[in-house]
Amino acid sequence: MRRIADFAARDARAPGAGASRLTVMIALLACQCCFHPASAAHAAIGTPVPNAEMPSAAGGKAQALQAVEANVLVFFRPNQERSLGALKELAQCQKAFADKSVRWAAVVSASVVAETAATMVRDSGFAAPVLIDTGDALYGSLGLALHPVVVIVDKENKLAAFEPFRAVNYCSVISAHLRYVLREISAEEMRKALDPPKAVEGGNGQVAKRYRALAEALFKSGNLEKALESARKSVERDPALAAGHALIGEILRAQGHCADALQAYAQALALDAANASAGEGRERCKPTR
Amino acid sequence: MTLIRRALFALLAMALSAPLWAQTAQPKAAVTGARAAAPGTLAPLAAKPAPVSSHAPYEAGDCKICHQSSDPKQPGPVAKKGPALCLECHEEFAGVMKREHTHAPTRADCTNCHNPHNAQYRKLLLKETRVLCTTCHDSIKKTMDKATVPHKALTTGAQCTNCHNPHASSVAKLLVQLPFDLCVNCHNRDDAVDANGKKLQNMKGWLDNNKQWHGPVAAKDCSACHEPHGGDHFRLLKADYPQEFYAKYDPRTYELCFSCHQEAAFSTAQTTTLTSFRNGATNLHFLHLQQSGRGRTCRACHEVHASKQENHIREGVPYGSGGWMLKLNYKKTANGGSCEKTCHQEKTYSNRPAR
Repeated sequence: MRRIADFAARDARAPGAGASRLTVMIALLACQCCFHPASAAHAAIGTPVPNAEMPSAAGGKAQALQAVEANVLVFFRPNQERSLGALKELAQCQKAFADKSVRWAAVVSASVVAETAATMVRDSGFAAPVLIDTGDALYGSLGLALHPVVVIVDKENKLAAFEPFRAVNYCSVISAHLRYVLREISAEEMRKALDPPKAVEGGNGQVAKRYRALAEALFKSGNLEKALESARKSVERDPALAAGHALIGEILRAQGHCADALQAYAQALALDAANASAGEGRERCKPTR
Repeated sequence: MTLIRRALFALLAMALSAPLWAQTAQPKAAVTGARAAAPGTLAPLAAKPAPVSSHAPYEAGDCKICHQSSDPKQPGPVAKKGPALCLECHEEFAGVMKREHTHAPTRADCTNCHNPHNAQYRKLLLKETRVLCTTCHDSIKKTMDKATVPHKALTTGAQCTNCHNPHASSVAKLLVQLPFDLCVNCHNRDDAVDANGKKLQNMKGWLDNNKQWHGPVAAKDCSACHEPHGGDHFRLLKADYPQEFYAKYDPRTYELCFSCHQEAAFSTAQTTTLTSFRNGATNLHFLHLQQSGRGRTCRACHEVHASKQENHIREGVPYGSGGWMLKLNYKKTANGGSCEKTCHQEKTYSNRPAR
């Protein structure tokens, strides 16, 4: 039956598609027999999405899908808190795609009052036509069982992403899928966006850098002992911090301990041969002949 | 008269100059009295009681690192305004603040939350974490205060910062990680109990062993159903959900489920579209839920978090007080499914013509 839908959808996009509309409607009805709104899973990613002509809440009719890189269909229902939340969030989300080949559409069941649905979309700030899904044909053909759901369809009219509402990061998730469909990010970048890294800071490496920075400030203000103390704390935290060893060298040299400074410079250069401060300091500490 | 006038003038001058004096004079609390400085002050605290945290530059005793002068009595203003001064040492924050979501007080000034000298709280915080956060986030405070079902995460460990990064995050609501990743950091033990001492499921263990995850779980969005700041519904649920195995059908008691699922799928007796759990057009969800007096609730057949079988169908249900599990024996078929010898004799349903 998916094949029938595929062919029917292809027919509908072909020139002179008007004659095939009846075929499309029959195919959609046939689809509905195979995919059920409450089935366990939505239609698989890659499934062809039928491009039916649907009534618009504003009057007239419109195609479910347009010839763009990505169609975003937002299935929602009126008087539902989560649908309103999703529409509001998507209203913010869609601004970033204003100049992209993306078509947004809100889709609502024919069983609800179209005027109410249109008002809800307008009030949410989500800029999109409201399409009426007669008999929940499109919703059913995609195996959907929830509201709200965002469905992203690629330029070949295949299902590219399916995202029910999330209380957290909804816009980020939709944007990541959309940018992937638009080929703006790689699959790996999308994966990272969908599962962002842990937001932490600190750790020995960072604390070491803080001590080094403090040591430098103390060094500049002439407080050599405290500066040395802080610089040593820095390399205790991160022995691989070349800049920390170099600064120890600088402070020791300023204290007149060139022999010790040379050891610190050597450590810095062993870690980072290009460390300019250590290189210059070593030259200055070399005994004059 | 002249003397009285002069006296009045002097009194007036003193009264007017007092606020100015208060702003410019060295705070006494920093030198003499412990915690005499007003709560939230940015001035150094007194030595006793010993501050819990102290800033390394302050400990170094060189005011000039941050101020214009090295004289502790007259350090003068700080060398740079806002976070710029802090970033000179805390350089990683330049990267941190490039994350997608940033905290407005952090953007404005680090001293909105931190005392740059020392503090009676960890991380140089001006107040205890929860108190500090709810100074602005008063609606969260109200939620926490009136919750009959509290969440221990808010009152233990790092409190708000158990879950939130107060500076910046890649996750909305400044969460350190996606909700699921945060929740299983604690809900991964067999001996965990809730704030009322009731045993909690080892959620990570359960999810590891049951790979058919409910949509919000798979989306790592525990907060789709749970209110992490506390509430009035059992298990920190966001809305009503029947606790019992049997209950008279009332859509209001399924508010949580119906915040996503369609109520019509459970209250329509005959349908060919609203559910696949039907025999022909007979809606079997309706049949199970709407039995007078002994209507089954979701939990009778479904595991809400995860299951081994599709459709979140559970393997068995607890029967009696002895911990015995009654097997559901659900089997999926090509055009529907069947249950046998559990709640009833074997019954098979078909929701589409056999191929």
